[in-house]
Amino acid sequence: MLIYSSILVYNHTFVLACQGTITMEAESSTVHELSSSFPDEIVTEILTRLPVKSLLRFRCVSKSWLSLISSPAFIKMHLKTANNDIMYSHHRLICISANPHNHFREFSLRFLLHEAAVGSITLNYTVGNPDIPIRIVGSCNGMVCVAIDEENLILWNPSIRKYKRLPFLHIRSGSGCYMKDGFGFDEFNDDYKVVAIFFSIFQYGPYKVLIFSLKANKWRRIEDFKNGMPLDHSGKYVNGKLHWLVDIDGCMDIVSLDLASERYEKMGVPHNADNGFDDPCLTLGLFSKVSTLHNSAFWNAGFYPHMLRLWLLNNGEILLSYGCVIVIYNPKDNIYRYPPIDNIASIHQGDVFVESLVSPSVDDTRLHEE
Amino acid sequence: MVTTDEKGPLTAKKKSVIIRSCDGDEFLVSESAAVLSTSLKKILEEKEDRLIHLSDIDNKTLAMVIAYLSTHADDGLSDDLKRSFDQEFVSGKEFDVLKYLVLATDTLQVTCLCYTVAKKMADIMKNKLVEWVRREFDIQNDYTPEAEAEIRRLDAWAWDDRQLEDD
Repeated sequence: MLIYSSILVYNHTFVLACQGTITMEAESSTVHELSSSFPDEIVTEILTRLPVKSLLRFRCVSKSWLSLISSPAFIKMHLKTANNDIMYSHHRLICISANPHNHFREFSLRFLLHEAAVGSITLNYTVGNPDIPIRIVGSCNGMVCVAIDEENLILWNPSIRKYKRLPFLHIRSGSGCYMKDGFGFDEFNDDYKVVAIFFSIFQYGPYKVLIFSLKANKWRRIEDFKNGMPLDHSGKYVNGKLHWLVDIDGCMDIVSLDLASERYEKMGVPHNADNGFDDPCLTLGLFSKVSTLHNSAFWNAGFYPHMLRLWLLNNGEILLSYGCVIVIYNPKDNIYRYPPIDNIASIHQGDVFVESLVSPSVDDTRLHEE
Repeated sequence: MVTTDEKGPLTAKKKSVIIRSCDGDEFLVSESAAVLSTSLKKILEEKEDRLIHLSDIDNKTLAMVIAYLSTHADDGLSDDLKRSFDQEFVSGKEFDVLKYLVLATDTLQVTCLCYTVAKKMADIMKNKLVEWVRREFDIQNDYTPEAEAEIRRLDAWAWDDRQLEDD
């Protein structure tokens, strides 16, 4: 089934430049102590290592636990601990499944990598009509962005089962207009952002671009996209920037959009990517520290083009989701293996997210102490 | 009576300290192991005294912490071996034992042991009932029954599909 012609991995200096860190604010608002036998810091250390589901229950322990677990500082600390867990205990692979039709399924990444029997959860989120196409735009810092029917964008945290519909964009699909998108996190402003680039088949750039800020809860126009035409459906997020593979007058390049400064930059192509660039079916995959260009034979076969996602695992392997295939690739030995997922053929378009308490609604304060 | 082993004049003398638990037991610890605790390091920098008395750590807990520190101070062990030691170290330990351990890591400021123990405690806690947590952490329930029921209602799915344990 696997007929990839090449995967080019190269060191890319720009992605090494910034390692995102989350600054912790001091825990200041706790009035009551969390436990009469433990210092608050110790209780906090223990609670940041709990799964989200347990934390939702433990809000019932006492009012001070509720206020700790709901505090933004704790939520950030929990997210950071989950992100840094080398065992991937809090990482999940979320996929769109054809069985049941057009549903999301999620898998524990930890079990999946260690070839234990992988139980999946079918997420109780449906879009109403299962025939409406759904697509994962991206996943980042505990949040997943989903496009429904190529028009409605949704920010969703599957671990707390909360989602938010973004204000509707009038794209007029069917009249030659369509949208390309991207989702990421602006660390500088501590904000989730969605980018929408508007195309028309009658026009070859520059393209109108809107950016949605979760904090501001609105779309806003930014500088037009002038650097050629993005080929990938969704920009790939790495270290505060979204990246698109673009076609500039028949030449390939990579263009990034910094989510904090909202500036575009041409990144240049990988020096060893020559043999891939003649192929019309090139797509871009990126992960922290290393960039990958992927040249695939699936494009003409009518699968899901331009939906490559990959994650560098800490044992050096790469988890790859491409079209309807999810595999684990070992670049050292050039070997692919399939994760132990039942009904793997029905799975397409996966993305990895980390379990967290971050809420997609800006004003979710109703649980705080009265 | 504790003695340190004297090496020949040409070998560098390996320094040791004596740490006394709250119940009076004394432990001979190499200085290289002791300084992995930020608190002990500070004490050793401030005074010449080679005897440190810890008024709130009992002998069993102290013995465990010292075993941990000595293993991590051993340059002959690879990081992988140390990691598997950490896993072994907390496996099978009762929640009560871990409670004393985590408090000792707080007093002695041994951050990496604190993280290991906190992780293990979280693993034990994750499927426990709220009542169990209140008992173990000595917490008074300050909710009215109505307020508690309201919070349980908010994310009912988090409660219903697993068997929660009370022991």
